[in-house]
Amino acid sequence: MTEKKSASRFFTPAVAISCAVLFAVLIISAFAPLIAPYDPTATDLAATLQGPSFEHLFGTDQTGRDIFSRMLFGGRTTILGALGIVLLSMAVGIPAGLFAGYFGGPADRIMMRATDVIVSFPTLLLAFIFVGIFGRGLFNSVLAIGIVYIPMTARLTRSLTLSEKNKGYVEALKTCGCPSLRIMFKEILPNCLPTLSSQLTLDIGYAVIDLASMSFIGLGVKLPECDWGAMLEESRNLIFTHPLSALAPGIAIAVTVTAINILSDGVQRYIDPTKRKLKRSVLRHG
Amino acid sequence: MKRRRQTLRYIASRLFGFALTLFAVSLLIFFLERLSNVDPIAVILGGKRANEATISALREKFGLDLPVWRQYLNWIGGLLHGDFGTDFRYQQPVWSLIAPRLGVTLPLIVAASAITIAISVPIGVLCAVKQGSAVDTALSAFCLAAVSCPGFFVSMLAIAAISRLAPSVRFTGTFNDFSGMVERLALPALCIALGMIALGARVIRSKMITELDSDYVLFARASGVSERKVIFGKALRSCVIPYSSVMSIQIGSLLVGAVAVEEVFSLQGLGSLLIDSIQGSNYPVTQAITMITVFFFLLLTTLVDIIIAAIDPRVGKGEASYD
Repeated sequence: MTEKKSASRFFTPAVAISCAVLFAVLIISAFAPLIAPYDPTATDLAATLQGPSFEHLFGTDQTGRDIFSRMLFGGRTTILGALGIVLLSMAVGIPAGLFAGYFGGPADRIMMRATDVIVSFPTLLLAFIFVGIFGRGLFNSVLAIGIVYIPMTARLTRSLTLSEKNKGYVEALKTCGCPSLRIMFKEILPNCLPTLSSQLTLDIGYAVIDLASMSFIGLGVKLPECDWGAMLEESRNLIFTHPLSALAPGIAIAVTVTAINILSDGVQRYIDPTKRKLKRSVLRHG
Repeated sequence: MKRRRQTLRYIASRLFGFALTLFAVSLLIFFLERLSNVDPIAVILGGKRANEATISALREKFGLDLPVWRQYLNWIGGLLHGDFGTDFRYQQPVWSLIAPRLGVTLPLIVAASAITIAISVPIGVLCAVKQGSAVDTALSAFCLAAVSCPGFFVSMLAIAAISRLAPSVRFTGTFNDFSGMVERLALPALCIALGMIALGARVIRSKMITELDSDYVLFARASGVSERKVIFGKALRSCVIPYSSVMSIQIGSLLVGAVAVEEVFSLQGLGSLLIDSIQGSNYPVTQAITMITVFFFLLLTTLVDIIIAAIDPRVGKGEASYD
């Protein structure tokens, strides 16, 4: 199969649109200070709760802050936070999973027991407690949610490593005296990457929602930081009178996460072509 | 006989793991709370001034004068007797704060779970059977969007929509009777269920598609078994295991996981008590809710794992897993 063909297999219309949406979100977040017409924290008590206009594209909130500018900076915080959470879970989870899966033995058992304890805290309970003790703020929220995500990445990496390590190429490398670290990171890890990348893409979506939830219930970012979850919380009671201020951050979260989910599904389908074959044969039966 | 012994051994090991994890969680939560730099006495006094004598009397009353390991043993000893201790803020038994909250959150969880199971299974089956059709595409797209929407945003939209369309529905305030409870909890339960319905339907759909393409289904069809029996009698059975595995985690998380939706509907549930206790450094309440939540979660997931092992002996022998 040529390079071009495999690319067109990946970019179905839905995946292409999702990529465009995510690219736009990334660009807007990266250049928020250049695009935003106002300072997102500047209040203007003479112009509170205005509707959309050319001056304020999305209107203003209770304290006269420009909602459009806040959306841009809020997106920046949300995306940066979500990426931070997943990067943290990768930085700790992938090496831990590789070591545990490759060497096995007591190290493996200790890691599995430790992850057992962390995953027995349902959803964000541990993150809530962590933030309650060490304080609110973007950094602490990312750290807290990241800790909750580490065991999942570690376990997935471990199970992928387990299925790789008994394959012939690993045996061959061992026999040739290739150092373990090199086998793990240069040979096994690349073979785990397709599945890992599909899961980690999905995790970014979950991280967006989790970070927004934390801010929404008052355990996330603290002023003057703002993310889409905190904006939703602030505008919760305005949904009747000023729907745009409440709808904008909510729709932004939903659209971003949907795009991430479609992308993850696309990666999954791309690396596991059996699903496509199945589709055709089921159609034939049905 | 051998199979039965293996299953029993698996059950025993799972129950042992359950107890061990619960113990580790109690250690973690207790000593994590001690890392906070908020002085419990300040929380107990709640901003009031007090002299040294009062403070040391309070220290003694709450057992804060003891070494930390004694405090832990006292706490865990109380837990084993069903005593959650006294809270710092209201100085009441912790259980008396938690019990009324469970009266809101438990019915909410039961309702949301019932709605989820009743709706997600038919949707998943329909999508799998009509795979590739317009119905499947529409429902799958809906499920994808529903999975991606945070529950609290769905709740805000639902409140806005319902109060426009049916202004007579009352979903604020408290309830005293069953019909009041139904009126008050129906909408939040639906909002919580929406995401779980979508997730459950996706699980059923993908498993069902694999099953419908397998050899045993082909054989059943070839030997003239009706399509209805193939779908509901054979293929759907195999979906039960991954579905209940996913759902036990989802439902087990709801005790605290419903907090954002409870906040939007201003329901006085367990989640809002937890957030209050975390923000107010009211450790006895935080610790109690954590232990109850983790217990409920582990109980549900362990039970489902054991049931799965009883259905599929390969799980008990470690030959198959459904993680």
